[in-house]
Amino acid sequence: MPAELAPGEGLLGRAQRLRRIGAALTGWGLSLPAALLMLVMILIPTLSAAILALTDYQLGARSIRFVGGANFAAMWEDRVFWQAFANTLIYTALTVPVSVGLGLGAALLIEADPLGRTTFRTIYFLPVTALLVAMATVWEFILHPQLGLVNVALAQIGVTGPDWLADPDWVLPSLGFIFVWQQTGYNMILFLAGLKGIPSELYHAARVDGADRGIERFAMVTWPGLAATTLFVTVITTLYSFRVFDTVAALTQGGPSNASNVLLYNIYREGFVYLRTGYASAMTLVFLALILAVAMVQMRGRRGGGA
Amino acid sequence: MASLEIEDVTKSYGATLILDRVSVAVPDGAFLTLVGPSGCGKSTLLRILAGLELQDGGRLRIGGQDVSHLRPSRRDIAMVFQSYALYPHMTVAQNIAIPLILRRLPLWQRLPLLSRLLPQARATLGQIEAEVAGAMAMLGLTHLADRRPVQLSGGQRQRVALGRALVRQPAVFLLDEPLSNLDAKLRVHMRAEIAALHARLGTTFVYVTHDQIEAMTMSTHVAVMMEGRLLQVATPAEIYAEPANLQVAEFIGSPRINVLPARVGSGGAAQLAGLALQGRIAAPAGASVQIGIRPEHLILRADPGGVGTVTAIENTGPELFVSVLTEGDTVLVARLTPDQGAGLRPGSRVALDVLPGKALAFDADGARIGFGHSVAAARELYHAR
Repeated sequence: MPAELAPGEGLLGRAQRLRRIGAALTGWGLSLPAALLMLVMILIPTLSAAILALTDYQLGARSIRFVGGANFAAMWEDRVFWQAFANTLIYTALTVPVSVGLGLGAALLIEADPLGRTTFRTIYFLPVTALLVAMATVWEFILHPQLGLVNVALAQIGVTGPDWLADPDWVLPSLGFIFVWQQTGYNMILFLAGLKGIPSELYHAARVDGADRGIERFAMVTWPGLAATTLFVTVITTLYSFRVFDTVAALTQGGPSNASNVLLYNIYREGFVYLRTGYASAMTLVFLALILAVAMVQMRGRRGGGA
Repeated sequence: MASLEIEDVTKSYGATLILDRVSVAVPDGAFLTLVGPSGCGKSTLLRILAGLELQDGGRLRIGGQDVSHLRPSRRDIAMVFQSYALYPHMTVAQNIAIPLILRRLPLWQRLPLLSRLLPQARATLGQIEAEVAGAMAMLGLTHLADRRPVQLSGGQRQRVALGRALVRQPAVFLLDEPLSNLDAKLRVHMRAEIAALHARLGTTFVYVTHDQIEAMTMSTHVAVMMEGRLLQVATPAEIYAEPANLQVAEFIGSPRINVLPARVGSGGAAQLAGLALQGRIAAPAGASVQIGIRPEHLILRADPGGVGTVTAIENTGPELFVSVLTEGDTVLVARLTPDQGAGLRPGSRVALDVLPGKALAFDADGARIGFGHSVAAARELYHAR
């Protein structure tokens, strides 16, 4: 009998081997397009930036020289870079809590009452769909020191408003306000999705258990239920906030005297205005490291709060 | 512990009437099961009892006290939800402690730091911990005290939900299809466990289910609901043996009761195809009625000249469900022991008979009417409607 079975086993083994190879090939084939795209769009540019950061390359120049860590050393001494760095952090610290808080508040209000739910959702979401560069002109007018809506309104109650975009003390908050105006609607949509994921039976259980006040039910059900959403929204908003560029480029060009200069705008200016590609690449790497650090927080939070 | 009275409760959503003047009263310590097909209003009634929804009209009394307009937390009830509704970020012990904490500690004393510092709050928390430990021990949850709900099996979550309900010692327990998310084997086990819990606590239970087996096995009182109306409230035995109408008779019992159209002959005799029935129907001669026969009351005899033909036999082990095609293209199902059905095969000819006094009669609208032995009882049922 074993002798008769042997050829069959051989055939079976062959079939199993072929299927294994086929499955492996299919796997590689299916992931190939994504892998290629990642290589071309992310890995190669990042690698190029990393290499350029170690050179004194200038855009359009014929010569290129390896300078080691000289660009990073220069950055360490560069007051403008540190100001842009600090401005970015201040801008983030101003905008993230406000836009996350307002987004949550708007989502809670909209979810609380079905009356006009779709209307309010649309109104709040509208700024997200607006092109910020185009809207910047509108904001420029609204914030105009003499003719702007804001200062005209303030004048009505006897307050002389500052020149929002030209006053070093007010320019970052003003730009931050525009960011909040746009980001709140986006955060609201994410929070609305998070709220939908909380089973209504939990609220009923809380009421039966004795949580009579809305604040108690919020603390027992809503806030814990939104933990993952809140982390995600905060990280996303932080990343967007770090990447502020278009309002700065359109409204202030980093001024007055670098008061609204931020990391990305500084990189743009070094790389494309002063054409110091090597230096700009070095700053890009620092920026990338910052973004990565924030993204890690999110990933860690997701693993930890798997529940 | 308390009696429960539901009086003329009505509820509608827009134009849809969900509850149509539902009234039921049970004594202290009863196990009342609301059973009916989905959409019959049983869950709505439970949620109205809990105070999660307000009725449009009618009253609710718990222990004689009118609770119709009280908040859920003031009704002295506890509820177990279909999805268990455990707080996912809290441990088992915390989940069970929550109703006590919310009731005994004012808001500001619940802040994590203050509750440790204030001697009074600490004493209360110690007492709560002891009670929670007692509840967990009772349900065999002690070793799971520090787990979170996601780390528990369905049956364990179910027990935590029960623990959260019983730790407060409420006057009435409300359970909303608590077993429907469990697998079949666990369901049988938890059924017994809940019944045992009821026996031990002696508290009034209100239990909602669509499963007639749960209703029959656990309850002291079964309330059958359909389309927003309460059709009958009675003990499980009575619901089965003396259904007030055809809908109840058809809903309770598996396989379903056999229903045959018949006509009342002279002297109240039933005239129907293929079967001879004794007894007098309490309806005028010539009236159309419906006769209900439970599968276990049908007797089959192998008989080459019989009017019935066996079309299918389902063997469940302890019993056989035998489908018989009889005159008038009616299919009847008989429940036999394997011995009784030993000689039967699909295609066998059989003679049909009914255990004396067991057939039920209903009028054209489905209301129960007297038939032989049970005329008086049936009349009573009929007039009670």
